[in-house]
Amino acid sequence: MFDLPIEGPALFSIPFGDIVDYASPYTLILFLFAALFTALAILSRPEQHADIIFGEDGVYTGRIPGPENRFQRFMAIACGLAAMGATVSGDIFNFCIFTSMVGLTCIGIVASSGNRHVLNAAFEYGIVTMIAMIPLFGGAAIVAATTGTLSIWELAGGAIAVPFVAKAFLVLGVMGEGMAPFYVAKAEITRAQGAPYILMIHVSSLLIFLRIIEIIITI
Amino acid sequence: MIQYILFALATGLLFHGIHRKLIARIQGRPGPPVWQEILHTLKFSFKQTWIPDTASEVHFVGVVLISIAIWILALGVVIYEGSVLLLFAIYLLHKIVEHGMGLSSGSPYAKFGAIRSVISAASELPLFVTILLIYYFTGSLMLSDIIQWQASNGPLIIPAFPAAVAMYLIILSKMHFGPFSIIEGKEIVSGNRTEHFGVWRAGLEAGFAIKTYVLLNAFVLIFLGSFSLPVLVLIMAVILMTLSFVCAYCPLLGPYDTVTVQSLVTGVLLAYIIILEVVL
Amino acid sequence: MQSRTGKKIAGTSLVIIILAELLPVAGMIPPWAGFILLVLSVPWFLLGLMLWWRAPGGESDLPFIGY
Repeated sequence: MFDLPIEGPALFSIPFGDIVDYASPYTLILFLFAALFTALAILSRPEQHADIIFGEDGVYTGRIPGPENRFQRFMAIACGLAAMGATVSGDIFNFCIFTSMVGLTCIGIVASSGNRHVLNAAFEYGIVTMIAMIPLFGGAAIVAATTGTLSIWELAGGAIAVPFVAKAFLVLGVMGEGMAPFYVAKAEITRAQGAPYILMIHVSSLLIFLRIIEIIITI
Repeated sequence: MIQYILFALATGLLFHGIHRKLIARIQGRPGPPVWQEILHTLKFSFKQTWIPDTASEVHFVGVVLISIAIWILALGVVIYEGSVLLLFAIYLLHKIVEHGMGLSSGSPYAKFGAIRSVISAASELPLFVTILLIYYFTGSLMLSDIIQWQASNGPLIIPAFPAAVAMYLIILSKMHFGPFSIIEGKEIVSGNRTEHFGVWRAGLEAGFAIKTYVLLNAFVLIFLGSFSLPVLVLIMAVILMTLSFVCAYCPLLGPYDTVTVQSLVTGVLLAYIIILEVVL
Repeated sequence: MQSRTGKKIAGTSLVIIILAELLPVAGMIPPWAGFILLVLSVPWFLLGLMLWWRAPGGESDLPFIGY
């Protein structure tokens, strides 16, 4: 049952056994937003990144070479799909999988960038993300161990008590993917060129953060 | 319903004008007339407009449309007394718009603004804790339930005062010329708005006007309760004036200082929640 | 972008806005659906209108690089 005074009623639900994928107005808007930005990444030509030659009047504009462009676009679309999955998944474990996919594809987006600062930042971000996956999956494991289910539909409304530490671990894990205290590396990797693709890094991590807030308040 | 949107648009622009006027008066300048922002938006809309050569066109125009659309959606959430969580989501989506605005043009200054917008993502944390605290007291996140709770228990601002302070800080961090508006600091020209000129700028001003209206309206609804429209606008104007005082007296903080302040507020709020849980 | 395109966008979205106002009154769609239509059409209307009446001319240029 899902009719909580948190995000409005469930609009529709698709049951797969006890895992019920559902859409409330909230998750639907998050999903549409992820889809919108994925569409932007598919449709837009990348920006050209004007730069100033220091100490002169010169300006150069960087154009992303073809293969690199294609790879970035592929990774951005993959990142968008992972974010879409995370916003509508009705299962905590699936959510964690999608979240870690977001972390991986974010590194993929900037991996082909030639800028040393960006690559260094991406490396650091990768380490933070991998460490954050431990509390993330740990949180899911604690939920499964204490309640016997991972379905958000079953856990909704506090019918089965979920330990506070599991919720805290889940939030910590998602924050490691790119929210406040851990994002310093992420701020640097957005220096890479190629606008709609780089934007996906930020879009996906904000969307999964919004989704985990909904999950921890619901369960 | 279009009348609500037009009213929010006009009032929001007027609020921006009052904001500028007050800051100017406090700083001993005459300042522009209060309707200046309305004229400003019209003026920008009449100007020659194009898309920079280096920009990613679809994305460049898309963020302007998205910024107006999400705040009209937020207005809908407030009018239909929907979920506060949705308002929270739209606030975060606005962050994406700011980020996208800076990245789309290819200008280095705009890109700096965009990177600062990622850094200032700490401003979401107070909002998140605010929502937890509201939920703790009212047991619901629907605006209609929160208003009903206040009708029987008095304004939420009294028990949840730290949450009100945090939300005030959130509105402050989105005001122009405020201590937290690092993304449009003048040391990076106009930050992420550098390349959005003419019609694009007018569109963004329209979106931001609705944003100011919605955020102030949500603050009043969540923490003070429901009022008739004239009283509501009056209270919103008073809150806006207090914000203008803060903006007039506080210098622009450094990017990392804003993160520190916002994280500290989040920490204090979390401590308040833990004390409420454990002691009471 | 031609100002004629702006005129077309503004016209089309104005029709949608009028429909979004009238259809809920006639009871053909629920009020929230009307509002969703407004969310989708008003931004296009504003931008289209402004692109229509803006001053013509201007060539695309490099971004602002410095004083």
